[in-house]
Amino acid sequence: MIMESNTYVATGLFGTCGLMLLGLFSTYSAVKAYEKGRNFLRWYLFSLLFFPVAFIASFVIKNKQENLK
Amino acid sequence: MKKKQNQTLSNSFSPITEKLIKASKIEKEALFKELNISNNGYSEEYAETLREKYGRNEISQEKPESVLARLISAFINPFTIVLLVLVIISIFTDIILVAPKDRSFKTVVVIVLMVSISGLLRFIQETRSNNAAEKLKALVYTTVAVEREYEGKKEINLSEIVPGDIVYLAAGDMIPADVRIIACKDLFISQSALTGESEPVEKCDTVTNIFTDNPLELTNLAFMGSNVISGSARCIVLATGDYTCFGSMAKAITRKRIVTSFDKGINSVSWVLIRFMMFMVPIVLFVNGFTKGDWLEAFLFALSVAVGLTPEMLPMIVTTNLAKGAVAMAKKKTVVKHLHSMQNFGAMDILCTDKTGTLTQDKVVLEYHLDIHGNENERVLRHAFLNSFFQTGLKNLMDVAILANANRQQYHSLEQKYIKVDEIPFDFNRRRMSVVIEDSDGKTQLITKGAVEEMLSISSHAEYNGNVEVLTDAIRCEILATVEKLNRDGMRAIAVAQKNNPSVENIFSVKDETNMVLMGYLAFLDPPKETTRAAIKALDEYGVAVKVLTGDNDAVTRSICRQVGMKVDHLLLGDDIDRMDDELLAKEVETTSIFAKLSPQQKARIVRILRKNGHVVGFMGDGINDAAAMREADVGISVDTAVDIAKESADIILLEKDLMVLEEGIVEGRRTFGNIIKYVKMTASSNFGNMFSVVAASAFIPFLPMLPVQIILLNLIYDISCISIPWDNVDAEYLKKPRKWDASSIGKFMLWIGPTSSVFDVITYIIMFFIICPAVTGGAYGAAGVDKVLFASLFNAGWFVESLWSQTLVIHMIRTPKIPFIQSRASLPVLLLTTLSIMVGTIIPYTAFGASIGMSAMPLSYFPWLAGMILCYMVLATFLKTMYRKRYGELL
Repeated sequence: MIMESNTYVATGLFGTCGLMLLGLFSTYSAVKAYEKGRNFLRWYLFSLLFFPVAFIASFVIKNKQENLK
Repeated sequence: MKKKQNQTLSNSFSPITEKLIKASKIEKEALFKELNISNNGYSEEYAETLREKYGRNEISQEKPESVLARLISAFINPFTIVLLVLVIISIFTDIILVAPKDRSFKTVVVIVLMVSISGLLRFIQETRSNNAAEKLKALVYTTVAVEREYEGKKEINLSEIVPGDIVYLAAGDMIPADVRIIACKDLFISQSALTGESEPVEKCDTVTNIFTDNPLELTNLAFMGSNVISGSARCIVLATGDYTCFGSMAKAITRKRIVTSFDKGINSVSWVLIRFMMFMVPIVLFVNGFTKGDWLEAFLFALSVAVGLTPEMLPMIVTTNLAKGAVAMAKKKTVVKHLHSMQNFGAMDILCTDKTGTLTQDKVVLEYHLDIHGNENERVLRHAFLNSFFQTGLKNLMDVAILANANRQQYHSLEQKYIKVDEIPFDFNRRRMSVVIEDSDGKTQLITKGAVEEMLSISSHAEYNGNVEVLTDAIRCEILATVEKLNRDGMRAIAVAQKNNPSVENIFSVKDETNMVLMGYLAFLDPPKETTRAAIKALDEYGVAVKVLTGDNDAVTRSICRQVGMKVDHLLLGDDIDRMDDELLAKEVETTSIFAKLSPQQKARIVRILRKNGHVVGFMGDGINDAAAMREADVGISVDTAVDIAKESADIILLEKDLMVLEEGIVEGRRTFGNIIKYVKMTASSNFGNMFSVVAASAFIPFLPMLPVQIILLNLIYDISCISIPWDNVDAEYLKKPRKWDASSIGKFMLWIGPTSSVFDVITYIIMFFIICPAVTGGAYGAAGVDKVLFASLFNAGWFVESLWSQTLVIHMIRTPKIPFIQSRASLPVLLLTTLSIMVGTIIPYTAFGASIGMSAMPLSYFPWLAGMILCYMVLATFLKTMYRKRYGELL
């Protein structure tokens, strides 16, 4: 039950929850890219900022290690 | 170091040093008279009387902590101190400062109860661990040969000797107390533990005229804490236990336990969590203080959060884990002398071992006694017998084999025919030893036995068929070829030489070991144990590479190693190693598994280089020549039958001399480490996650999300459920690899897994604040007619229960990379205790006790939400675990 007086609570809690989930799920794209020879941290930040794009990109990008072979 | 310690002793010029100096300056007869000792020693009854007077021969510092001290330390820790602060504040706020009718003792009683439970739990667990460690120590003890009236020379426990006892020392013995030497032969003692001086010091039995106030400089005294390198002695005990020099400066010189990476890691985790806590708690205090206005309540809440975030159970869980592992190992005939070496045992990836007795059967049999042309010869055995019989140093396996083989009447008559004049003891550089004997006609002869190459180098002639001839290069080559063949067949060979009337002055030394007449050589068979091959294979499967470091020659080492299935294509000798600098040796040790003809210093150097290369190295040995390498290793392993100094240097003692036992010990070490790291990672990630939740709640919830006493109770229940972790199962896959402490993995784990539980904490806030609480109270928080106290107490209870469920379930989630309950199940104690904790925690809000600490009963509609959240939590945790493993390779 969200009332006008509780919007601050609602914004805070829902926002925190959303950010946390984004942070956790961003690991998926980053790990996927890492397995394909990409930098984990850069991909994690990319995923945090543009999750849908990073998510799709992590599937599409080529495996660097296979290319090397 | 040496200077500092010497100063410590001379500065502490005391009755002890005065007594020692005085004893060194009087003749032994006078000393006997003064101490009222007969030549036959004390009777056991009199010794007992003296034991009551002076106490046992033990240093106070090494005695276990008293029960009272342990009880006090169990109750004085951050957890109980904060609880006691809460009690004092509650006494004021609930009892003293309120009207008589409003007085409530509930909070005070609850908190006192919690202090008692947590303190007692800690005390009981630590007492059990200490008792287990003491029992283990008692399994391995050092003995000393003492003269007892009516009983003669007998071996007694080192702690039982008393001042005035007459004790006998031989190579490899620890000096049992501070003693005056009354008779000795070629006595060399290492005083490095007392003075830091690595070179052995020669001691004598004559009255000393040195004027010094430092007894360590007196040559006719020997001290507790030092050990006999070579030679033998008969001594009178002057001081025992705390009254010894070692006892008086124990604090300054007791060898400090090396701080391992594990110790450092545990400390660093504790400090990281404490620093997090110290950073977060002021934030929580100010956010709550400013947003809610009640500073006392905000302070109490921040204090309780601090308690919740303090890893107060970490030391107890670590000790219990180690003690439990040590007890399990004792059942497998492995005694852990120092609990902390358990972890290193599991982390060990290289095991260096001596050859004799570990790879081989430890039963050396004399196969041949041959003259220089390889024919059986009785005179060779006869001279070898005289050498072995009269030498007073440590009788090695070959001496034992010679004496056993010559156990016939004709040899025993030799004992009467000759008297011993002198002895030049064995050392690892000469690799030979000599005795000088005299027959009834007054003819003296020097008989030397030792490594064939060394013996050839000191012999100028050879005896064959009773004739002495010049030792030509052709004979040398013939001997070396025969010995080489024997070695290839796995036999060890030593040569025997003699020399008549070696010195006219009757003073004998190493210089007399020249121009000797080579008599022949002896060949010994020391076959490998049947279990060695299987043990090496098993160790290899567990990721432990075996390297053989032996003083024996290359051919026999190669033969034995081949028989036990080791690759023998690359072998390094002591001389090769001396020619290499550390950089080159660091490369060579990685590819070489067999090292032969090593001196003790070379063994120690190899171990040091291996450690420098990043390996966790174990060294297994039982001789004086192994002590230095054992001290250098991460884990020194010895056997119950080893010489004193080897046992003293070891961390782990095998009651059975078998490599197979090691494999079981290594697995136990890894299991112990697995359970410790499980708790450390669990606590670190859980605490990190809780900080997020508390900060979010403080910032956005208009009341305290949980009351201080509730946080403390939650923490107590969680801690109790963690007590069972040392008894948990560890996945078989985890045990297959050496497990090394990696501090960085804890930080990463904390960052990855911690926020998972926070997500569900925040979801709980949302569900409680916007769905459950309004449903029960009839409206949103702050709406007209809504009971704010009921709203808050419901919210508190909801988060309390969810938090307990997620915190307890995290034990099952983190303990394995597999799917919990399905692919990998926790042990029964963990299952029972976690289930019980969850049940108790869930019931509390429905009890009078729950009401007394500010909780209200949640409606049944809460539980489907809870079940859904817990299910989602487990799915999310499994997802994160998978991601973590893909990124870092492994979970724990």
